[in-house]
Amino acid sequence: MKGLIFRDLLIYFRRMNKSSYITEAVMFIFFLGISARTPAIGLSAYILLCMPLQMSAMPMAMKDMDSNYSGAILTRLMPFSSGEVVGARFLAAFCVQGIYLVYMVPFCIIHSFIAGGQGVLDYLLLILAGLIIGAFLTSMNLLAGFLGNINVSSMVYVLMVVAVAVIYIVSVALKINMADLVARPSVLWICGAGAAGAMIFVSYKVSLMAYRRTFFR
Amino acid sequence: MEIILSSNSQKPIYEQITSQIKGMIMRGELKSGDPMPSMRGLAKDLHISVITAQHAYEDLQRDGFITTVAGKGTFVAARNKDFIREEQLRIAQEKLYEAARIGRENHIELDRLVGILTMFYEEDE
Amino acid sequence: MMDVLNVAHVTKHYKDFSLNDVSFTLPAGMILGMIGENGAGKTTTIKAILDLIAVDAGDIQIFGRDHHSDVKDIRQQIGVVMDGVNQNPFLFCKDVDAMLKRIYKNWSSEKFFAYLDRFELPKDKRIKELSKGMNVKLNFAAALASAPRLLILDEATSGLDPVMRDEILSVLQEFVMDEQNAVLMSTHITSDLDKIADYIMFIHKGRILFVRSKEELDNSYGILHCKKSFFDALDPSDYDAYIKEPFSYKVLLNHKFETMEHFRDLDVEKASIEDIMLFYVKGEHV
Repeated sequence: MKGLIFRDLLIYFRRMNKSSYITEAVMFIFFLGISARTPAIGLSAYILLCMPLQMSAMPMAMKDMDSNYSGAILTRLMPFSSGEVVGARFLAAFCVQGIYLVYMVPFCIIHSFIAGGQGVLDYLLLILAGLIIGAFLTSMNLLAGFLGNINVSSMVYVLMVVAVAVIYIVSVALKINMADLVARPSVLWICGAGAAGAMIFVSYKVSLMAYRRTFFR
Repeated sequence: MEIILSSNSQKPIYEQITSQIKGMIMRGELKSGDPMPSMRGLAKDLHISVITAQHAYEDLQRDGFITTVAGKGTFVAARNKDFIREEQLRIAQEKLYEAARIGRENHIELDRLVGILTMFYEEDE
Repeated sequence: MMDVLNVAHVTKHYKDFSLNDVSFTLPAGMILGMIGENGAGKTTTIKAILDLIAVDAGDIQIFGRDHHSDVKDIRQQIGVVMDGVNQNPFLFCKDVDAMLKRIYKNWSSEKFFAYLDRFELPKDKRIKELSKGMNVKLNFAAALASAPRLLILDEATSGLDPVMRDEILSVLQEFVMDEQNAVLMSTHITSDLDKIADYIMFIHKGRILFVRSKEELDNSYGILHCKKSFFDALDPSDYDAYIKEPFSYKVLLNHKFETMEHFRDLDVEKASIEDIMLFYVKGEHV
C-alpha cells in the first residue's frame, strides 16, 4: 500500500506548477495583511477557512487523474486489493493535509509578531481545529471522488440541513440548552472531532463499497 | 550457416530448413560436432514461429543429422555414413519420381527412360 | 512446461453483445495473437483475463492459479500494455521508476533505464511532452522492467511507425526466449503476427472461430486465383472459402501442398493472416 500512497503523492506534487504556489503565497500574504488590521479575523479566516479548503482539494485532483488520464485503469491493473486502493487514497489525502502545516505554522509565527496577544497553546489549538475541519472536508471530497457523479455542494447542503435538524431534535428531546453547550469549549471539541471521525469512517466505508461495485460492470 | 526461405515455395518452411541444413552437412560445410543455433534463436533470426523451428529440428534429429545434449545444446551429429546415404537415396528417389511421373503422363515408354538414366549414369565413367 | 494461461468456457453477457464459450490455452514460451473485427470480443476477453470484469461462466487460470482469488500475486507477474493507457502525463519518465519500484517486487531499475536508453527515451522529460510512439515505448519499458511472466497487449503497437514496431517485435521475441514467459497480443496489425506469432486465435462475434498454430496455418492455407472452370473442378473439401472477383475466383485452399501435388504447376500464394481473416469474414463458405 505504501507504493500507492507514494504514487498518489508523487502525482499530486508533480501536478503543481508555479501558479499553484503563487496562489498559496498570495493568500498567505493577503490574510497576514488582514491580520495586521484585525488579528483575530485574519488568523481564524486563514486557519479555519482558507487552509481547510486548500488542503482538502487533493481528492478532486486525483479523481481528475483517474477519469481523464487512465489513472483508474492503471490502478486496477496493479497488485492491490480494493481496500488497499481506497485506503491508500485516504492516507495520501491526509498526508497532504499534514503537509499544509508548512503554511500554517509559519503563518502563526509571523502572526504572533504582527499582532501578538495569543499564547502558543491558542495557536496550536487553532491549527488543530483547522486540521479537524480539513479532515472533514477531505473525507467529503474523497467520498465524492469515489462516488463519481455526486455534486459536492449539494452533498454539503444536505449534510448541513440534516445536521441542524438532528441537533435541534436532540436538544429538544434531551432538554439541552444549546447556548450553554456552545459556550463550553470542550463540548465543541468533542463534537467537532466526533463529527470528523464519523465522516471519515462513513466516507471510507461507502467509498470502498462504491469502488468494489464499479468493478462488476 | 546461411538459410534462405521462400514463402511461395512448394515446400513447407520446415522442410526448406531441413533440406538446406542436410545439404550443408552432407557437403561438409557443417562438420560433426559443430554447434547449432538454439531452436528459439533460429526462429528469431529466420523470423519464423518457434513451432516451425521445432518441427525442423525434430525432423533433423529424427533423421540423425543433429543431436541434442541436455544442458549443452544442439550439435551436428557424428558423420554417419548410413544416414547420409539414406538422405542421398531419398533425394535421388524424389528426382526419379518426377521423371517417372512425366513419363507416365506423356506416354513415354519405361524402357526409353531407363535407357536415358543408364546413359547419364555411365556418362562420366 | 506449465501453461501460462488457461481459459475455459468463459461466457460474459452484455446488453448488446455476448462472449460465448471462449476457451484457449497459452503455453509457456509462446506468443498467441488474437485477431478479429472491432467489437468481436478481443478486449472483453482480455478484460476478463485481467479480472477487470467479472465473468458469467467459465474458469480462468493464470500460472495455474485462479485469476480472481489470487489476483494480487498474479498481477505482480503480469505486464499490460493497452492502447491509450499511458502513465500520468505530469510525471517525468524517471518518476515511473521511482513509483513502480515501490509497487512491483521484481522491479529492476537497471532494466527500466536500459530500455529507456534502447528506445531513446529522455529521462528528464514530462510524459505529456512525449509523442504517442514514445509513450507506447515507455509503456513497454514499464511493463517489461517488472519482470513479468505474462505480457498482455491490447492493440499495443497501433500508433507506432513500422521501424518502432519492428523493434518492439524484437523485444517480444526476446521476452519469450527463456521458455518461461508468454505473450498474449490482440492486434489489428496482422503483419506483426505474421512475423512473430506462434498461435493465432480468431474471435468473431463473441465466439472463437479457431485457435491454430501459425505453423499449421502456413502449411495448410494458400491462395489460388483461377477461372470458374477450374474452380468447378475443385472438390469443396479442398477449400475453406472463396471469393468471386470480377475477373476470377479467389480460393482459400486448406490443404495446399496436397492440392499442388495433385494439380501440378498451380500458382499458389502464401495466405497471410489478414488474407485468412478476410476470407473467413467476407468469403463464401462451403
